[in-house]
Amino acid sequence: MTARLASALTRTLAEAARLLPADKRPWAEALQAETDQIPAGGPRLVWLAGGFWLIAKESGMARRIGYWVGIAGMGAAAAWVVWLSWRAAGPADPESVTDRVRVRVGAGALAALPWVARGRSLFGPVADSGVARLVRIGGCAAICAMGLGVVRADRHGGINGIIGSGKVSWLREAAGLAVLIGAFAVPLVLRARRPQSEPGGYWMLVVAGVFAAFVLVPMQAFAVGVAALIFAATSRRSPVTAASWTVGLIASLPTAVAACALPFVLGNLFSAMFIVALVAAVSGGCAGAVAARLVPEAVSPDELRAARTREGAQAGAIAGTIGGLAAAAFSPILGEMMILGMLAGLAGGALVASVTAHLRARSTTADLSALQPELR
Amino acid sequence: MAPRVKFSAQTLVVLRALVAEPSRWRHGYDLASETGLKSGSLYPILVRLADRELVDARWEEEQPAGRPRRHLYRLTDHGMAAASAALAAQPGAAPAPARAAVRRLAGESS
Repeated sequence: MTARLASALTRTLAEAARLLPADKRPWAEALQAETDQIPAGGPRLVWLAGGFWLIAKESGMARRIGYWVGIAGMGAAAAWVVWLSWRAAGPADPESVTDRVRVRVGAGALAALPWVARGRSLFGPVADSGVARLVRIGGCAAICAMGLGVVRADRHGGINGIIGSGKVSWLREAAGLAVLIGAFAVPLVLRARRPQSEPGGYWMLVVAGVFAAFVLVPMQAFAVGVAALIFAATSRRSPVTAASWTVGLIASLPTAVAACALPFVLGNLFSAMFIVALVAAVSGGCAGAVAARLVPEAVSPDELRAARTREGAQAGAIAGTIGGLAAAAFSPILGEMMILGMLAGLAGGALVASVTAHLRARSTTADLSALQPELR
Repeated sequence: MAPRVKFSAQTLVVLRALVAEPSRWRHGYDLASETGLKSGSLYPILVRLADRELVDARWEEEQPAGRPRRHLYRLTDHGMAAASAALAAQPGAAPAPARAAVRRLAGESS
């Protein structure tokens, strides 16, 4: 029985090896060539199972399958939140209409943004890094959680009158949606017509559009802005490195805990925001210092100093943003924590990384000066 | 100066086995028996090492009787330098993979 299974697995392994790129196929053949030497029974089956793992790993299948399972899970979660918003309140409740619009705009942003910019790689495909994939899926989950929070808040009559209060204004909703769509569509059209122009100007247009929409429809603009930020930062064109993602993600933990717990522990949102900003600045600073030290020393001193400051600022901003986003997902009234965390983390990361880069540049110069007499 | 490259604990186990006999061409099952690693861990490590030109890989030249030709592995000069530096930096580095040695001793005594 085991011998027959091993024989079937060997044949399947030979077929599966075709999934590998040509330069990696000899490795699967090498593993197969050894199969007859392995003691029959369990050890041989384990050896062959390792062959399938090798093929899955080297063909990138495991990572791709994991990512698409995550994306499918997020699609299901978004659909569930939309369904909840539909059935949570009766049609007689005008607030439920507002929530339905809010939830649908958030879910629509998750589906539409990667599709809108699919040819330009602005929001996708995802970067070739496990952490970027994790952040993208986690960010989408956070947006779904925010939608769920809005629906739950409305079911309980709103939180402090901030969410779920007020009647729907179709004029305001339509104007907000039009501004949001324009914020993304106009820069894309302009860019297609003038491909040589600097991308910075288009990004300013997007930020200005989202800000204008924020004034009209804050919840929708926030959800779309967060979705755009997540897709842009985790796309293949993003300048954020895997090292910055990893360091920023780890350093986001203190900010996330503080932003989720302090408003409820202190009972005062403004005191909590002040402390969260401090925590985000400190953890962002730590992330900035680590990220700056991880920059490889393969460029000129000036470039190295700039690269260290940039990486540190990115890691700090990631730490603060993810920490704040966790709070926004925890409770929709904490949405401002994300913006606060991002700014404080960015400031802390940039400051500490800049100091680290300066000190390391000075120590390198000192080392070179000490070596000069020996070189002579 | 030898290049400083960071390796995982499992990669260090493989490097230790290869460093022990640098001139000998080793095959996958031989390395798996010595290191105690499963094929699903060993081969991806060998792929990475070969990609970084730390390990040379070639097929047996002559067709042996009764079995297929084996794929063989040996450290390159660059790989030898990197492995030696990494193993030397290990605190309390054992001269041979401890788990496999214990397993071998257990096998001999039974």
